This record gives sequence, C-alpha cells and structure tokens, in this order.
Amino acid sequence: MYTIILGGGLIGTGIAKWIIEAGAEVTIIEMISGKVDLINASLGDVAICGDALQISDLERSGIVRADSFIATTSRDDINLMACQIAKEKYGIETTISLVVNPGSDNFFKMLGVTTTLNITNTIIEGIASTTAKLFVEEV
Amino acid sequence: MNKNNDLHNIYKSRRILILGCGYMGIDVALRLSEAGNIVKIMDSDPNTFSRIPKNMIDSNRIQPILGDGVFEDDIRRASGQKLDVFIAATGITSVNIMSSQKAMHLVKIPKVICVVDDEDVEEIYSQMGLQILNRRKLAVEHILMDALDQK
Repeated sequence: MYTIILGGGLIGTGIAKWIIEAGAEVTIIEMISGKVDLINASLGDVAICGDALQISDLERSGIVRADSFIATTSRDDINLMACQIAKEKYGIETTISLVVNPGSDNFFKMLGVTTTLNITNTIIEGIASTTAKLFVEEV
Repeated sequence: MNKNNDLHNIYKSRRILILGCGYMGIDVALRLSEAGNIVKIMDSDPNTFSRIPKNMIDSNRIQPILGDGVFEDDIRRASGQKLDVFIAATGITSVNIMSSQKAMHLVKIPKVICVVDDEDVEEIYSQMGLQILNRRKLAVEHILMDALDQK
C-alpha cells in the first residue's frame, strides 16, 4: 500500500507518521525546502520538495505506483486539482482531500474525489457542540 | 434560413464574465466590450480595477465586480441574469481550473473558457470536457511561425 500526501504541514506530516507506524509506505510532496528537511530529519526520508501540480514532480514522488492520494494543503483549488490529476492521469482510485470552503464538499465529490473532510465545518461543529449550552441559556 | 441564424448569432450581444483583472483579463474585456458585449470583470483585489480605463467603467461598458471566482456564490452573484460566457483568466492555473469547473457544473454557464500555462494540464482537462486555452503554447507557436516566416 503506497500513499502520496500533498502538503507537509501539521496535518500532512501527522498522517504520514500514522501511516509509517502502521507499516505502510508514504511520500510527502512539500513546496518549502526547509519543511522538507525538517520532515526528513524526524520521519526518515519520506518527503520530497516539489509542486504537486507539476507532472514532473508528481512522477518523482512515484505516483505511477501509488494506491491512494491525500491532499492536505489549505487551498481548495490546489487540493482539488491535485486529486483530479491523480485520478484522471494516474488512475488512483482513492483520493482524499481536505476542504476549506464550507459549501464545497459535494462539488469535490461530484468531480471524483473519493472522500472529503471539511475543516471549517468540523471546527465550527466542534465549537458549537461544546459551547451550545452557553447559548441555549441566553435564549 | 441558416444564413439568418448565423447572422443572428454573430450580432447577438453576449453576457460575459471574466475572472481575473490582470492585463490579460482587461485586454479581453476591452475587446469584447468594443464588439458590443455586456462585460463584467471579477477580481478579489479591488486595487486591480484601477487598471481598467476609467471611461469604460464610467460608461458602464465594463463592470468591475469584487469577488472570488473559486466561490460558487460569487460567480452566481456576478452572473445577475444568465451568463453566456465565463472566462477564467487569472494568473493562477489551479484557480482557473477550479472556478471553470464551478461555472460549468454548478452555475451551468453554457460556454466556459479556462486559460492555463501548462501542456499537461491542458491535456488532462481537455479530456474531461473543459475548453482549455494554453496561452504559453499559443505564444510559443506564434513566435516560432514569425521566426521561421511561416505566416
């Protein structure tokens, strides 16, 4: 099982760490070389420096033999496009994307992204559910 | 009969929304406006609107709209009545690709043109039914033709 992760932020590296501990193979594509060095120092050589919207960088990550693709940047347009390229050009069945815009999940799924996680909705729901009591009393 | 239809098509003024108030978006807007179309141009940075010739804004021939093209709501708000054409011409390929797909699949604008700079992207999204215009390739082809006197 080989997974490519787009974005070497806290979420991307957190998922990578979890995959490595589960005994599977993973590569992170990250644009900022300083971040790449930090990840490689802590997780072993799992990150490469590149732009996931460039075919040459994607191929350097070994996308041709990947089974799944996870997009974790904070930009919906980049996440969507990377997942679409992974699916349409490389036939990767499982594509997972973070979504920032609260209303865009269905759009991502309509365009073939397998699974989406809306970080904005998740945070709002989390805060709402833990603070609901405070507001109910007011009304 | 057919001839009349063709003429009608040529002279019909279209409602056009251009995304990206950069030099390319503005030039396209000016040409389309001169040709008698109803042109709106959208950008998320209001400072960019100062690039549009003032007389074109004052005479309402180009209507600047503040909005972000990656949001469906902003495209809908800019559409007003139905749009005939949507042109994504920002400098960022992924923004053009995402907003074009929203314009096509969600807002259902009949004609969507997406400007990109990358041949791989052109190939992938052309196959998915998006009308792609690769400006880098077009420029290179024209330069080659000129350099080799093949016009």
